[in-house]
Amino acid sequence: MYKILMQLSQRRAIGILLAGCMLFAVSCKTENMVPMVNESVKNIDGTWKIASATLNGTDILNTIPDAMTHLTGFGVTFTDGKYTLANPIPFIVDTDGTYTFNDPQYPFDISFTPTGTTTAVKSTFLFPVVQGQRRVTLTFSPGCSKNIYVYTLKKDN
Amino acid sequence: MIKYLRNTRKKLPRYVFLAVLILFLSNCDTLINSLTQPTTATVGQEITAVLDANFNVDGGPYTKQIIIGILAPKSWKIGENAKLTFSGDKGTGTLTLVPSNQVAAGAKNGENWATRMKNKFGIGTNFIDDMEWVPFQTTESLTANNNEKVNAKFQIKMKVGVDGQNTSVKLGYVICNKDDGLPDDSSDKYAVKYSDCLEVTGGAGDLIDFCNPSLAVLSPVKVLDNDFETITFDNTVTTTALKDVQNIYLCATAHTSDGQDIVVCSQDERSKMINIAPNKFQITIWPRGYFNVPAGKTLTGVDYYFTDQGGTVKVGFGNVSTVPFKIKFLCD
Repeated sequence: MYKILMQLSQRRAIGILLAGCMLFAVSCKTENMVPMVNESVKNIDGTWKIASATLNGTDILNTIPDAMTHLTGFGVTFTDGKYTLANPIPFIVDTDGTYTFNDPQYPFDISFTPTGTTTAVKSTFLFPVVQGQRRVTLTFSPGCSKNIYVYTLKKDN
Repeated sequence: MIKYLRNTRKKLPRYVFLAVLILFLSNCDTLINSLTQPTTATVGQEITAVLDANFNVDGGPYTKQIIIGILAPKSWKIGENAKLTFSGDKGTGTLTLVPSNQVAAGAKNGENWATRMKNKFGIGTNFIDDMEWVPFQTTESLTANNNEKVNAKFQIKMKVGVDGQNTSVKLGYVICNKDDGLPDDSSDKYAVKYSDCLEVTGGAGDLIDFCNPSLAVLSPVKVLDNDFETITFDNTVTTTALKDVQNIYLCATAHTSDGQDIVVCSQDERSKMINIAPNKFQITIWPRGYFNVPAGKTLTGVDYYFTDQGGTVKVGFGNVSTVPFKIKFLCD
């Protein structure tokens, strides 16, 4: 029994030695350097429609008839720093105007400034990829500050 | 090598026995023996509730802070209007508010204590979701030894109805320790109890009745005219003039801040409520859109009735046809 155990541990030692040699060999390979790429400026130009909507964490797109909420008719079009709204619903703003990101390369906030006013209204901005397509997720409170709306928009083709 | 294996095999039952023993021993039951709380009060009055609790310790010794949560209407601001003390086998002491940035023990999504309690217990047996759990903790940790049965009486002095509204509500109380929190897999680590209906009188306006189901329920409870508002008509609460009617419509009048009225009371597709359950009907409106409010004007409130298709049979507040239900556009 003892002998068998000794043989086993010898075999294991040889195995470890071999694996070590292979690792050495592999580690000598030259690496291809990744060229420096600038993070792109986030472009959201186009018309966006609602893909999902929640109010205080509860889905309002699929649970309430659209005839009551009119969520699917809503659209927001971004072009050259301006936005226009179609078929208004509770949203960050209710009239057309201009928008800016806090950082065009790494935006976390989007600010809407309706035409004729100077105060901007801010929303958190997420720009995830879903099924190969960009989505825009906005979080805001158009009424009471404790009522939190999250709209995820997808590009209208 | 062989010797070692043999030894392990011999010791295995002993290890298993020890592990089971440790599991069995590390147990600390929390019980509420009784809750004493008045069932009537006037607005702004200070009432005293007493929770008689037991902590039955197996294993230990344990040194832990005790947490007490109180469920009350949000507008009562219990966090500012309650003073908690305790006395019992471990002497006396006070409890203070748990800061909202403290993550609750065992909270899977990093919730704080107030959120964890709300997620776990909701609003108890109340009917209006405009309530909050307010967590307090003992300022010092208390130590209990093996097999000790520790009794403590928690005295809660609180001003009720500080919003000046007539209210009836079932307050809730939860006790746990700060290390175990409110685990989902073991219900003996905490104890929760709800009071009988507390009637707060002497205030202004209609009774806000958390205790009983109401004909009309709003969600969210607090809204402005630029929010979605869902109105539910529960025709099962009592026998109404609309008994067994299956086509229910909303008849509503909105009031603008400059004193105008906008009426939407035609029985059509827009005002038709959907049937969500037998004799329960629901409509969701965006008041600014529903009443077609001109830009620059705001709404202060909406009066509404439920009607049949002809618009003649009406149900309003208190199950009468002459007093409307009301929505006031106000936040906290």
